[in-house]
Amino acid sequence: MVTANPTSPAPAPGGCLPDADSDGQRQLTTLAGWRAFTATNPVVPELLDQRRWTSLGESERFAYDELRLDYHTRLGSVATSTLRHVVHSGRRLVLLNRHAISARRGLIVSGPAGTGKTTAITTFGKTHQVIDGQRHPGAGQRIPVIYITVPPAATPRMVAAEFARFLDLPVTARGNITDIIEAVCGVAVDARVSLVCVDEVHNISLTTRAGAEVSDTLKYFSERIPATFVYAGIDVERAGLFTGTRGRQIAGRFCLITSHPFPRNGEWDGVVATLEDALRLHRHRPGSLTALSAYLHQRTGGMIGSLSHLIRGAAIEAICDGTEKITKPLLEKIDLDHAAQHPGMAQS
Amino acid sequence: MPPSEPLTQAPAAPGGTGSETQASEDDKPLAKVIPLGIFDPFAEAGKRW
Repeated sequence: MVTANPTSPAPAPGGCLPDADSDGQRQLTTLAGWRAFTATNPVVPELLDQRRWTSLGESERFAYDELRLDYHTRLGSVATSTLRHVVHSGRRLVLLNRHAISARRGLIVSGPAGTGKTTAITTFGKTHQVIDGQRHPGAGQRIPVIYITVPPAATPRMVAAEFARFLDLPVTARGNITDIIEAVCGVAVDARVSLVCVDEVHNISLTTRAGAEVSDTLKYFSERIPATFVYAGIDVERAGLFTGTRGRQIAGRFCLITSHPFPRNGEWDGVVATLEDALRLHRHRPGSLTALSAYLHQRTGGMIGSLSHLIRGAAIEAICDGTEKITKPLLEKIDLDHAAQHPGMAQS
Repeated sequence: MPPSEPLTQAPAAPGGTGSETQASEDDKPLAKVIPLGIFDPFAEAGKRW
């Protein structure tokens, strides 16, 4: 059973509605958004018994359904073997790097789109943030984690600006890259940053001058900031991140964890069972979704991102149309991404 | 509320008969699938390793 974290008490029906608008403005690539993401776990709403549910008034019913809709938009991260591997390896690297004065080791998570790379590194980042908070209670000025994404066609200045944006440092049009890097490194060292997560690293192409310079900029950040660096990107080993002199340097310092579409096996069934277990629907027959495990694998190509989208979408549909259960005909109504329906494309 | 261990159909046994593998989903025996669980960073942080 999924349980709410003690810091996130389940609200009673008719209580405050989730602030969906402000949630939409939260971005993990800002300090405020990251802190909100790492502060609590999603609240698991209480599923009312039949008598209480059917006796709810209109406004109470609206509030109750809003809470469940909000909950099903996220559902939490399934503890897959890949996610556990990333968290475990990441924690070990952070410890290994604690007293390293140079050549700190890093981690790269690589795989096709929709295989859980971003979920894995952000979940590790959240875990690290919680651990740091436990080791340093009351130290509100600490910023243990930086999370940025590499923009498409990135230049070194753009990447440096992403670091600055996360830290809420002003970046003016006239400010040169040296000023930005100095400001970022100064704040990062003062705030005891110990983990830097860089997502979408497939946007770095070492075959272009700009891409090579971005790689050099990240390396420079890793030398100035005493932190463990974790990268994630689509098939980066095939995209040339390890080629050439720069690539060999990265390959020599970073461990590689690959994420894959799930084969149709027991772990896949376990993922489906976990998501089904997390549902808060009134008429859903337990086990009926897990019984559709083969169909769900065929629909999603084994992509956990697509599976999550499909089940969450069906759950939201089931609440909105009042059926309160997920069936195969309902799942058929949910559109999926093109890549999930054409697995060869996703892996190319 | 769904139970913590939902039931599902068992995979066809390797030595099963043709009629078994052709049986409809509803006719197949139910077996337990163990959920992997939702990853909880707060619980993870409390573990030594």
